[in-house]
Amino acid sequence: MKLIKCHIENFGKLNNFEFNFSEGFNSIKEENGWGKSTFATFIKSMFYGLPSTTKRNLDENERKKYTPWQGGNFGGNIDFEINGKQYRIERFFGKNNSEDTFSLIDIATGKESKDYTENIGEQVFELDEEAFERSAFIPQKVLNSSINESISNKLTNLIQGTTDNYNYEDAQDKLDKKRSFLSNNKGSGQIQLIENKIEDVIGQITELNTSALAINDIQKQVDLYDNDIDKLLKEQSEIKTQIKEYSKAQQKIANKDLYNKLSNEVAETNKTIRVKENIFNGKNTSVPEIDSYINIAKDVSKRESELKLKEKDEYVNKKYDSLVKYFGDENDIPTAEKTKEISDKILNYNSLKNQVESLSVQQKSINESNKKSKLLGLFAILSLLSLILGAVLINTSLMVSVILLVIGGILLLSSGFMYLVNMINVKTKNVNNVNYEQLQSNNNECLKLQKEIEKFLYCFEDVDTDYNTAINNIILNRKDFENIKKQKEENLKENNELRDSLSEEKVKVENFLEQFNLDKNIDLLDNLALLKQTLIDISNLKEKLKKEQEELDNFKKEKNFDIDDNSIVNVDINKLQSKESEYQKQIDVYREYKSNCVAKINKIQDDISALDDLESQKENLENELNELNKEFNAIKNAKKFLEMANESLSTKFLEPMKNGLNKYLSLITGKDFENLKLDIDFNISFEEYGKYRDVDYYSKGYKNIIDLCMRLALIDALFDKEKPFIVLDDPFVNMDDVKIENAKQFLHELSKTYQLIYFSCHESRC
Amino acid sequence: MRFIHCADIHLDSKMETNLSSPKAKERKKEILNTFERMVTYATENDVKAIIIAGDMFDTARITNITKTRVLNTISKNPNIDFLYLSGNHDESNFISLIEDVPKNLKIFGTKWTTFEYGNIKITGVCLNENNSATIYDTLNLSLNDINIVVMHGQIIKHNSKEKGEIINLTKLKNKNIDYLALGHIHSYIQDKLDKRGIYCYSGCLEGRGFDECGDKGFVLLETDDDKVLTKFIPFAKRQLVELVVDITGYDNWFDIESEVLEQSKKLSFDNLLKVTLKGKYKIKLDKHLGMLEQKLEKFYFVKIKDESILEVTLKDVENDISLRGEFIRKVLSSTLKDEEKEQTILVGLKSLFGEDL
Repeated sequence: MKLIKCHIENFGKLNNFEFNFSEGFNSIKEENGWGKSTFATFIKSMFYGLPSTTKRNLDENERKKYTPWQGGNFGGNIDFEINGKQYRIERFFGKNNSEDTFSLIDIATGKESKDYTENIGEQVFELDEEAFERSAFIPQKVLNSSINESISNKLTNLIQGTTDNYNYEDAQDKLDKKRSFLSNNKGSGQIQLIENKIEDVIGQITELNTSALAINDIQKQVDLYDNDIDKLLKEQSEIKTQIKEYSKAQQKIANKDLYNKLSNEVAETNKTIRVKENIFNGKNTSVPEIDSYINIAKDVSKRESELKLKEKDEYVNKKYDSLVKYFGDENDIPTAEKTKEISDKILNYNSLKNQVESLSVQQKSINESNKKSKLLGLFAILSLLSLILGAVLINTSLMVSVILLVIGGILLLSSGFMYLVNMINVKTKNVNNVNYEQLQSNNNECLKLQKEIEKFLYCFEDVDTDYNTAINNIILNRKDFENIKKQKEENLKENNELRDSLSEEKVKVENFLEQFNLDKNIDLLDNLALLKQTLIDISNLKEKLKKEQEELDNFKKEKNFDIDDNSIVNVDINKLQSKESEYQKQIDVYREYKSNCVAKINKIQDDISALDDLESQKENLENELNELNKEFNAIKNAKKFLEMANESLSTKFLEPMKNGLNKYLSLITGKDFENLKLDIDFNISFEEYGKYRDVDYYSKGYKNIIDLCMRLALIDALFDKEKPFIVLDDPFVNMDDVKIENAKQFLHELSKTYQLIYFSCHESRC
Repeated sequence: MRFIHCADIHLDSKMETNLSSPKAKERKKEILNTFERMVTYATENDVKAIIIAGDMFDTARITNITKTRVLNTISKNPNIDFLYLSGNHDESNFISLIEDVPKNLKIFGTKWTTFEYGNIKITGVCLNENNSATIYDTLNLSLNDINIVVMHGQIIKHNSKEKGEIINLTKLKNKNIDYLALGHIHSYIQDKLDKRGIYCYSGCLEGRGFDECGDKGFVLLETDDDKVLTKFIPFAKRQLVELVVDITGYDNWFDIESEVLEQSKKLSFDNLLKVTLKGKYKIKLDKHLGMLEQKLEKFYFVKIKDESILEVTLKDVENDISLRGEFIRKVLSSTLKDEEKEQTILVGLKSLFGEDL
């Protein structure tokens, strides 16, 4: 298989780019950044297309990475020859696979060819894209990166199709760890833990299920109690029926009693009405009529009261009586002339009495002057005695003598003063002694008048009252008596007139009351009130009677009993009630038993309600266990089949790789590498001096060569049918000039077998 | 007059979706809440009776709290009758354990039991192995009544994952049935019974597993003078939804994720979602199931089921001379089962490329 030419319309930074491939070695020398990797990827993409992925990393998303910078159609075409036939692949890419276009043209005919499909890469090379990329594409970085790492590992990865960081051993290790995590000898694996949990849950479920079984037994007991209760209820019901019958009979008696009572009430009311109606003596009247007579009677009564009041005018009567009493008798009342006469006498008497009293006072004064003269003489003697005694004692006792002399002096002076005053009074009294006789005469006249006055006055007034007051009282009382007497006579006249008018109204009322059976001794108004009340009572009683009658009729109608039915239910009600009560007790006992059973069932049911939860837990755990077991089996199987695959691959590639490596190393170095050893893990070692040396003992450049040779050996081993073109992206950057020359020669040699597309950025490596 | 036909509520039942324990408990509560919401709906819409056509509970494991709440719900709605028919899952003998059965809880027996609402007759029977063959002969319904018949079991036409008593539709034809209220199948199905009537599975109130996807709820019946009008009322709090995505032809995982996310856009995050990957994929496709699950984490629950098959043949690797090619060839040529081969290849390749196992 060989490439002929290609046209890149737009791919990454390349656009409208043409390249004609030579049959063997194609060297492309361009500066870094020209787009060598883009060109290499374009060639691959023509055969394998571009994968569709959502990965954001450009290195992992070629479609995104090589979307044309300048826009335009994304893709191009490539011409190649296989089995003597030339074809053109034309591919254009969209945002994803579905937008991609692919066509294969048979160049000879210019028509579309169906020899291959869009999966042409795999169909031609019998390798998938990854294997192709990992073998026929020899990028710079692979060789560069291999410097510090085991070549064998890189190659193993190349074949294993794993990533740079993981390989078969890592995979096995990961599987081992996961297997141990799921199940291990310590019993701490997830599967074992879940199994333990399931066992625990099953234990709890079993325990609750055992409890649940008890429900059936208790339920049976409940059913038995229900039967017993039903039976007892039935028997109790029969007793209750008998009690009911008895009660009915009792009720009938009670009804009859009540009926009789109601009947009696009706009769009693009737009787009362008749008694009350007797008053009316068969005469008809009405409350308004009675009221009209009551009004008349009240008026009469009122006016009579007024009359009586007038008759009994307390003031007039009292006054009249008191005046009569004052004067003793109506005939003894003094006349006006008599009272005038007495009044004049009192005046005369008072005048005379005053004269007598004046003369009496003068006479009394003269008598008292005589008594005072005798007293002056006594004072004069006493003063002389004091003066004499004072003079005598002057030599004996000066002090006493002085005092006596002073007292005697004072007494002497007082006697002299009193003498002078008495002498003046005696002179005046001597004049009045002349009227003494007149005094005696007046006094006699006065006594005479006093007798006459007092004789009159003491008939009506007290002895102690003075004469003027007494005569005035008598005069006034006489006048009052005349007035009162006059008023009394007028009252009497008015009363007589009123009494005459009242008796006419009264007769009218009396005539009305005359018709009825009433006690005539009772007051008219009382009788009228009685009549009215009786009439009202009768009306009320008739209303009452009506209701009582209705009640009686309704009762009879409602109860609907035969009044003449006197049948009696002869049962011992106490015995029946006791029996019924006994049944009730038994029923209550069974109900309590049942209630206890129901409570037990409820308790168990509440307990076993946790069963749902436990069963769900069990189910979830079993599901989890099932999944874990599947995972465990999958891990076991994966481990087993990975082991088998690894062994198979190693066996398949080991010998061809060893031969190929030997061949290419000999070609580059010109040496024979019979001492080379390649183990099942593609670890390379060389025998030197009887000992195998690891490749790491060799220089960096040498390791690059070994690396390249390993890859070429792999290409030989992989592409056993159609030899592919090999793309080399500046693989000799780490080689010294000597080795580069050897390598260049080697490439030219290799281009005899493979079409090589060799990229480099330096003249020295071209 | 209005009635509700519901069935297969499966209170306290086990969740079949591999839910975590807390979420499974939450879903159980949600199912109970949905039942209570349905009763509220009945109250607000003047529903006379709720027909429960079997499997109200599941197994013998009814918790006390569920039983108490159901009984409270029933007794607090005395204006609604609850016509209860036992199903094949009602093992608990719920009624026998109630000490004071509410007056409005009415039970269908193992012989035809009828509850009357004017000219509407609701007749039902609990099927068992003793009566299921002969029960049809004893069903006598008046021509002039509106007849609703209630049963729980499997009609031959429809398959169910659960085994139940067989209902013979042929023997129920021309029996003057207007509406045959059925329970047992967990999806809403309605079809013609005969010239006069229809039969209907109301389905369950809430789905419990991914085999119970789609709308779940109950049927609202409204009787006219001589006919029954029906309307399915979707009522579940959450739906279970399965997205099946064929990944054949996809080269990268990102495109597959985009496709799944695109398809899931129209779904409510309240739902329980199962994504099933089907089809064939190339060995180059790097799967990240965990990543996809994480991207769907807003859903109440997500389950990714990978049923896709690795598409690799000997021909595919015949030109791969690498250890990888040789390994795949060895595995493909082995006697392992296909699934084992796939897993072995995937694990082996991961280990070769140093990826996490």
